[in-house]
Amino acid sequence: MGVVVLLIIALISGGLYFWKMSRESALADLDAQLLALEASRNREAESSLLTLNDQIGTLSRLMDGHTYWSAGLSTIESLLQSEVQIASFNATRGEFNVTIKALNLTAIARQVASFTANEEITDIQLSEVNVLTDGGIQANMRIFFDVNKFLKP
Amino acid sequence: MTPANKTYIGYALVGLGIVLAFVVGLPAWDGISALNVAIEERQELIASRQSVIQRIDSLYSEYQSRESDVSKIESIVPSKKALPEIITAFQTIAQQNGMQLLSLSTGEISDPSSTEILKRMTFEITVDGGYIAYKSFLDSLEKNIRLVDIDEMSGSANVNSIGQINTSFAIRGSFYYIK
Repeated sequence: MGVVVLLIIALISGGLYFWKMSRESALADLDAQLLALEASRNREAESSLLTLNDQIGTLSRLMDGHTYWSAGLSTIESLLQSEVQIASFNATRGEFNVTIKALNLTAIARQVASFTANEEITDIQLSEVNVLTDGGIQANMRIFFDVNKFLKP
Repeated sequence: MTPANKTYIGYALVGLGIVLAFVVGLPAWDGISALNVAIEERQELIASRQSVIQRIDSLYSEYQSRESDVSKIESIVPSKKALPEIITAFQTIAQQNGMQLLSLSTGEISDPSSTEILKRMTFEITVDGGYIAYKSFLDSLEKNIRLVDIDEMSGSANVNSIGQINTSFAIRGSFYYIK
């Protein structure tokens, strides 16, 4: 009886031992496959694609933020009243400062109303309204605008 | 051999069997379980890497077939400062639109700690000409193949010494390159 038990246990243990060996061999084969795959990687292709990915990501951000001042100038131009002239301007992102000359205050008021009516313009500030020697009016106007609308075509 | 001795030998053999099971069988069983997990992980890893490598190969083939499109990206944001090219571009755009380029300067926003691959260069230009020409100049500048962003601009009309009205415009902006 003892011999039979010993034999069964020895057979099972031996079987398990050889099974383990075969599993170890399979694992070693898979590790070798992984190494071969690693060696077969096309580093040049990966590098080119990574660079392209960076460029596209960067370009996409830049294009989203790209502004068109020509569009902003066209808007100002289209809103300008015939009796008003721009003597000078200074523009930054979000703000357009102009020095305007007009025949009278009514023309200035019409101009303010015209700018205010435009939905791309968010606010107007008027300062230094002066009467010129020729009887005309000069005023400084700060025009605040929505960059995403005003500077987009 | 007495029956008692047979029993002792039987117990001894069973004991030996138990020792064998603990020394060889059980560690082998544990090892097999751990190896099976490791094999499954490796198989998944190999399948995933093969799929990634195939995807990279396919993307690279497409990349090579669209080389002309890729080179356009290089024109929009080049991989070097390319200052002579941008100076020539400003000059050409001004001339094409009937403006006179009076001054031009460039600078670089330098931040050594920045890990950003995009580098920003600044420029300031002053041009002389009429308003219509200026608008056309601005439009061409904004649509230039190398991306140019205008940050600030100003314009004013001045009367010169011989009584002529000159309109001059100043632009401050940025252009970029990838390092």
